[in-house]
Amino acid sequence: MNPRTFKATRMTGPAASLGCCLVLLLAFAGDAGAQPRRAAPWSLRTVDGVSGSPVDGVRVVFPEYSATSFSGEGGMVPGHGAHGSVRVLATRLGYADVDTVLAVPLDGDVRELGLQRAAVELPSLTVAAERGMTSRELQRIMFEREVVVGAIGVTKAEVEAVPPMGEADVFRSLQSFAGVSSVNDLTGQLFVRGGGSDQVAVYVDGAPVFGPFHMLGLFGAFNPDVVESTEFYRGSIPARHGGALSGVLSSTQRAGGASRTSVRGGLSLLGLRATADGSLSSGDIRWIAGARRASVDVVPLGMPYSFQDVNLGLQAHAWENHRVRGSFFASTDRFEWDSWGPEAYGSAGSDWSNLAASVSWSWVRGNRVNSETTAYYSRYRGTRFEGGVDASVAAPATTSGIEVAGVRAGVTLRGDRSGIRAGVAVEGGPVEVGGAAGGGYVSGDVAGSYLHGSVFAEAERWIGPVRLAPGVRAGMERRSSRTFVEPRFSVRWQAGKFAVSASLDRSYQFVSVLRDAYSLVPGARIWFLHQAEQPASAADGASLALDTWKGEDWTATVTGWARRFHDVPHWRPARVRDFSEVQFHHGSARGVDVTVQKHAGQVRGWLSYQWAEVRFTDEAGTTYFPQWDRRHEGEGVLTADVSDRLTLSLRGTVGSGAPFWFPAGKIAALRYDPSQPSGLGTVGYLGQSDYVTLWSDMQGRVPLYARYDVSARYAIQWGSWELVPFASVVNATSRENILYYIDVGYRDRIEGGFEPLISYQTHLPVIPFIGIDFSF
Amino acid sequence: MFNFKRPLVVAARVALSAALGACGDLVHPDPPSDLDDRLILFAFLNPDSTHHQVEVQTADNMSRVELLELAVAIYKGTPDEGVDWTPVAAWEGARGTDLCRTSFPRTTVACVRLEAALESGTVYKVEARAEGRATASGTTTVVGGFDVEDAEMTGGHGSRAIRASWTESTAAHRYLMALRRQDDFCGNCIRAWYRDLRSTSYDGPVPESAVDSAGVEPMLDVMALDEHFHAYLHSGHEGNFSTVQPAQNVEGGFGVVGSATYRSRKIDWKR
Repeated sequence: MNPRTFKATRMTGPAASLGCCLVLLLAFAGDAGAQPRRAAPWSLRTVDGVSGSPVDGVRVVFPEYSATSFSGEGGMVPGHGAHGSVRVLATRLGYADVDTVLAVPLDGDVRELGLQRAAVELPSLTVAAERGMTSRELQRIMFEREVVVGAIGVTKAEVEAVPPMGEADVFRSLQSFAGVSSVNDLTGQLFVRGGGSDQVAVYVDGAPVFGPFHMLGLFGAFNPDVVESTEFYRGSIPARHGGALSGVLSSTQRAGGASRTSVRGGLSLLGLRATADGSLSSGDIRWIAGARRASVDVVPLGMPYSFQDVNLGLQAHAWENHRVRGSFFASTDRFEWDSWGPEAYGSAGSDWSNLAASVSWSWVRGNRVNSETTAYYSRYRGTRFEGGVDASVAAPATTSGIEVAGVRAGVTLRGDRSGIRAGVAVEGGPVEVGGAAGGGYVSGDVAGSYLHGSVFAEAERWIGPVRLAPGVRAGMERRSSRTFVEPRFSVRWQAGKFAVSASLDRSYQFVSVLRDAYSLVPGARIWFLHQAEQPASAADGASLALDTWKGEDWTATVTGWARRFHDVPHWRPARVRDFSEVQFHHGSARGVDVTVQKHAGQVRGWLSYQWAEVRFTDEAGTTYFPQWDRRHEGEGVLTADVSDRLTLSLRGTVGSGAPFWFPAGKIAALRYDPSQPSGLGTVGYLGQSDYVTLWSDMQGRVPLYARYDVSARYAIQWGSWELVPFASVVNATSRENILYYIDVGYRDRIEGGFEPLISYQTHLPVIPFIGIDFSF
Repeated sequence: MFNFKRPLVVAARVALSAALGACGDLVHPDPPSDLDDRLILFAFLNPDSTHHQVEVQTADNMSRVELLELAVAIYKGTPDEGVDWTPVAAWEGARGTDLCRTSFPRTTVACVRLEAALESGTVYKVEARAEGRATASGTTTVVGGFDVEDAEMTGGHGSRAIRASWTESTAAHRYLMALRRQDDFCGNCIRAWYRDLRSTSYDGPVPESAVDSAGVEPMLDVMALDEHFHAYLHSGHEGNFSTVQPAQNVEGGFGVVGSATYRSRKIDWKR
């Protein structure tokens, strides 16, 4: 992003125009107005143009005197002996740049310089490194922009700080923050505020992505070199987002680079990626193209897994104040394990693909009005197959397909002390599950399509140091005639270096993942549309957060939250694997999480802890605990710059084990074998059998989970190239964490009777990864 | 200056203590001795026979089935008129593995044989009771007998085809039509090929591998199955990634109560 673009985005971005709680913080502290005036020489005080409160951290330049200062507490900046009139340049995040000429007051007097709040868009992950943006700066931006509790973003540095499981990944990085749970080592899926992973909507440039993972879910499908910024909302979601109960991950692709074409990429044990970006001669059209493909399927590794993803982006300033962006993302994954021989389709496997494309048009009218319209299309296809009678019969497959198109349009109006954003959205398309052959993950077909329209409004109003942000989203789904109203309300009060924020919200969800709760089920997600006779899922939430910080180095957040879930689909197929076994359950979740982060310095990182309790009640009134109900979860990520080139990282995770259902035993699954005249009674020919786990209705919890990952990165400059080889070791201590139980039985005790005997599968063993990132 | 090290250390200690602490809400990872008291019940009723084999296992521990006092019964139902079940056969006693030959490799199955003449197209319920256990039961509509009318194989190498037809079996959900023959090349072993059909006829190709090295005249086997038995035979897999349990229809337990019957006829092979 060049300076021109940066300036434009700051001036035209959305909600942040009403930001700037730091100003109110200082105002509320009460000492701003009583700031003692300096006797001589004169001083400048930077103040908020709306509230009149002093603003600290403003970079003030007196170009004629070659002097630069930052305003301190009380917004005070020395006048540097200027006299007469003086040109002043003032910049600060969250405010419009000021370039003005001031009449110098008399000695000892104070001149106020008013700053107007301006929109702040979330800066990019990748640009962050170029501009040297720290995670603290990013956190400040998010804090000023969003009032809702739980909104965060991560910088590229934070993504790289987490020892990679093959590839640096924003999903894995987010998992290490408080308020986000993971259920096992094998998945980068996000479980947020007591909700399932399908309750976190994922977007790329406004288009939904329904299967955003590679390698059976091991890491995200978003190329880290292409992603510009990622917003992540935990629990409380702004009204402009809908369709998800527990969170939103909204990713934006980079718009392209400066005039010079640049290339970056990397090679790891899992994949090869390359991204190029640049601009056309006029500089008004920027482009980016990125691609990644698996390396594990090439000789000599030869693993039966392949994946690819492609990103394309184009941005043009067609007319003054008008910007048009086009975005394209596609990914495929295919895994096939063939145990029957080359003639068979395979005995286990899964494949899925995403295609998400969008076109958006932004129109900026002055500093107070802007609008954005996005049209998008998203397609997801997933298949999972496992089993099969013999080598001549393909394993029964289950397919999932979604194809949606939509338009979202919104306009933002900004005033001095208030603002409003309002818009409309229409989305629809078919959602299909195919399991007609029977014997697969799902038996039977369910197909339907939906069309829903909604309107949303977000408002903000400053009342002294209090920032109110009510919002609402309402709409109707045509096919089922379901209507929904989602009120969202947030408020923040700031005092000194503390801020207290609270959010109340309600959300609905119509499309969910059909997931067998008994097992872990990696691979393609099976999405289904709640049928007309089935309820929509809903969640009500309340959260309260205390934020504090110390300078630019330290921040801390404590959040308490409680949520109630209504009609969340639950599938524990016991007799048949079809939609008749889907139940809709109510539940509740509550928790407290703490994050302490050191943003800068030779040693930096974060420590997070979460206590949470999630429970649901089935139709018989029995309480159960979902797999993501991990009561205690502590995470620590530590990064140390050993030298200018060498960076070491450590991640430690300690937490309660995940709940599970006990296996009850085994049941024989007889096959029809026409060649074997071994009858069942007098009936026909029955032969081969497989013994399949039966599940009980009793739950347990696997023991304490702990894992430690380490990584090292070493930067090498070679002409215009930068090479960064890295190595990481997952589960460095090779701790044996129990993943799930696979069998249960009994053995005779010497003293008589029986004792339980249970066998289990473990999480990842110690696994080393190596790779190299490059750019030129 | 505020010292941030201390709260960091405290937070780390709290997190570690909490993580190591007992959760208190769930049982220990070891399974309890009374993990599951449900029975596994298999019964496949054949209208052509007056003897019907019912096999019972326990879900929690197959070796303990011998300790059970079992009661097994078959009821004839009139579901359209309510839940009026009439007992048509019953067995009661201790372990019954010596009463019939179990279809399952494991020998810890209680296997009993009940005697009853069944009517095609009628609903029957099979029920198994054991002391201290939940009662398991399942229902099926008994399929009807049928006749194979035509079974002819034509064509030469690479173009084999079968034309076969049979009368409809009452209440049959699907038909499994198999070509079974002795393979001289592999030492008189039996090889077979089959198709899963909704219709009562098949007129189509046969892969060469299904008939090569055939020694004697091949047989055409047709099995008529109800929906429960059919679903059971085509499901169930202990997977590496997900476990797909076989389709079952037993309430209060696990297993399948289904119905099937079959016919065989020599194929008229026009070489």
